[in-house]
This record gives sequence, C-alpha cells and structure tokens, in this order.
Amino acid sequence: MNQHAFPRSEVVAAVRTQWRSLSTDAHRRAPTLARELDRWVGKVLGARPEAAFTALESYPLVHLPIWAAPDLTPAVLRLLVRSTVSGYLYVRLVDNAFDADTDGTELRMLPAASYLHTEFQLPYQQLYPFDHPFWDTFTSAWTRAAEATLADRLLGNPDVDRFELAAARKTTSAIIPVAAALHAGGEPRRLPAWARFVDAFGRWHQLGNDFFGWRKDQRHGNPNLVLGEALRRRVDPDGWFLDEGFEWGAELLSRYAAEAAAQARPLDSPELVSYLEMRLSTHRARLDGLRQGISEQVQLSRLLADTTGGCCASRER
Amino acid sequence: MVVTGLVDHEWAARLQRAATGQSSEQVGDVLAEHGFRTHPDLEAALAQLDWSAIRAVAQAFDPEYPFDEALIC
Repeated sequence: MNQHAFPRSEVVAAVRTQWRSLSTDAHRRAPTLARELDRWVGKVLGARPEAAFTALESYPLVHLPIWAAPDLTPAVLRLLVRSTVSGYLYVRLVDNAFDADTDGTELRMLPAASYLHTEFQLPYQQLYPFDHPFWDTFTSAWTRAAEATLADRLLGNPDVDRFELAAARKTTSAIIPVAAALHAGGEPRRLPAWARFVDAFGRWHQLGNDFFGWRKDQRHGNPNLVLGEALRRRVDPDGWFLDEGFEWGAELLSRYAAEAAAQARPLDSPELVSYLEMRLSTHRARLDGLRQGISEQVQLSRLLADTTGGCCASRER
Repeated sequence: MVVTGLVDHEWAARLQRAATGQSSEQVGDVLAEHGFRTHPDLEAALAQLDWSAIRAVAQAFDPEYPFDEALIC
C-alpha cells in the first residue's frame, strides 16, 4: 500500500499561490506583458497551472526540493516554487519558439522571458549571498542545460550516444532547486547523489518525449532519437516503428527507468521512491496497452496488405 | 502510409464504426479511400479487431495530438 500522497497538498497550494502572485506582480509592473503571459500560460498549461505542475505524468520539478529536504520551511518552499514556476515558463517559452512548435505566439511575446528569468533568479538571491557555493551549482547546471539544448538542436537527429550526451541533459537544470533545498537543510553533501538521479531521470523523461513525440518532431523538423535511429537503419520511420521501433524504444525506456530507480534508492527519500513506483507502473501499463494496439495494427496491416490469399482486400492499382 | 505505418486515427475510427456496424458507412467505401477493395471475409476479420487499442496507438503518436500540453515536460 502506498502511504505517500502524491501530489502533496502544500506543493499544489504553493504552485497555485505563487503563479497567482507572479501574474499579479506582472500586471502591476507590466500590464501588456502580463496579459500575454496569462493568455499563453492558459494555452500551454490550462486554467489551473498547479494541476499541470503536479500531474503524475509531469516532470516533478516542484516536488523534488521537498523530497530532497523534507523539513523545508513553508517560506523557503514558497520561494523555491516561485522560482521553479518562473524558470520552467522561461524554458518552455524559449523552447517552444526554438522548436518551431508554435503558431508565432512565443516569438511575439519573447520579451516576457526577461520577467520570467528575473523571477527565476530573485528567490535564490533572497536565500544565498553572491559567494555562496549554491551559485556554483546554479551557474554550471543552467549553462549545461543551455549548451545541451543548443547542441541538440544544431546537431540534428541524434543516435543513442549523442542523445545521452546532449538531449538527455536538457533537464539538468532541475538540480538547481534541489541544490537550494539541500543547502537550506544543511545537507549539501547529498548534492552529487541527487545530481546523478536528476541526470538519470532526465534521460528517461526526455526519451519519453522523443518516443511519444517523434511524429510531431518529424512534422516540425525537430531533432528526435526515434527518427535518428530510423535514419541510421535507412528505413521508413513509420513502418520501422510499427515493426521494430516501438519495442526498441520501449526497451530503452525500460533500461533508463531502471537506471533512474537505481539512482533514487541511495537518496533516502521514501516519497521519491513511492512516486517512481507509481509513475513507472503507470508508464508500463500505458506501454502494455499500446503494445496490444501495435499488435492489432500489424494484424490490420496484414489484412489490408494480403492480396494473394483471396480472403482479403486487394489494393487497386 | 496506411498499410505499413501508423493508421490515421480519423480514418481508423470511421473504419471501426463501419466494420462494427456503428455507422451507415460501408466498409468498402471507407477502404476505397485508401485504394483497397473489400471482401466479406475481410469485413468479418475487421470486425474482430480490437479497434480501441488501434485507436489508442494512432492517438498516442498523432503529431497533432497535444500529448505534452498541460504537462511539465
């Protein structure tokens, strides 16, 4: 029986109040920017951003700090959540504009990135002075994520090695709020182990994005591991995915999931372990359902393709 | 591509409804849109497929399906 509630109610409440506060402050300082921001957030995250931030299928950005430091005070939690919400919106705004997954909205409102980046960094400035070791993690993780995003984009469809070196590291900045929480809790020595988990979980999470989003990336011309693998094999991605690619991707997902779970075990965070069990179990059930669909679809393809047995359809020339 | 690739889920949905008698469309007419000719045995075989599983696949990998909207990804 799972004894750890997910999502945590205080985290959901903190996301709700901090997003409202972020929006209210924007309306006071920059009404045009605020209107655009409200509209865009409503479009990408729905009417309740706190639900998006705390959904089981979402990257658990806002939960990681409290899992790393369960004694986090409500005041520090609020600061970290405000920063994380701002930082995520900043990255999503830039990524959507960058990835061509946009009808132009993100490009038109790109100046709002200044506000979001400021609100991402300000809470940490309230917590840590300029020469605090936290800023070493901040600078290296933030720069590493930007480097990974740019390299991923410029180098085109990756193979598995390059995916692990670049694409999978796009979420590496998730260590920043964790580092802030560990420093606040007086346990910065635990940071390297958390960094290993964040990298391993990021690999699995990013592969999930590439696996389920490869046709969208194909349409938008974005780099994608599934497309890279089909290209490497010199096969049509559609046909290959049905015949082999689904299982190829499912197996790699399973390997990355096992690595993430292994990196979580030494962290002494029962809530994280419980979350991973739930998340990975849901993920496996989804794959099993899709596996059944793939099998039925192969059967459908055979029925439609069989032109010799006399029992089935023939394709008109 | 219909035969080797991931089925267009709107087409699959119409084929499902036709194959399982849930619409007034004829299986042959739907199949003909992609250049296939039907046969009674084929129609019987199509009616036996697990169409909800097929549609779940088509939807999961649909490039226009907003799978990552309203999620933190």
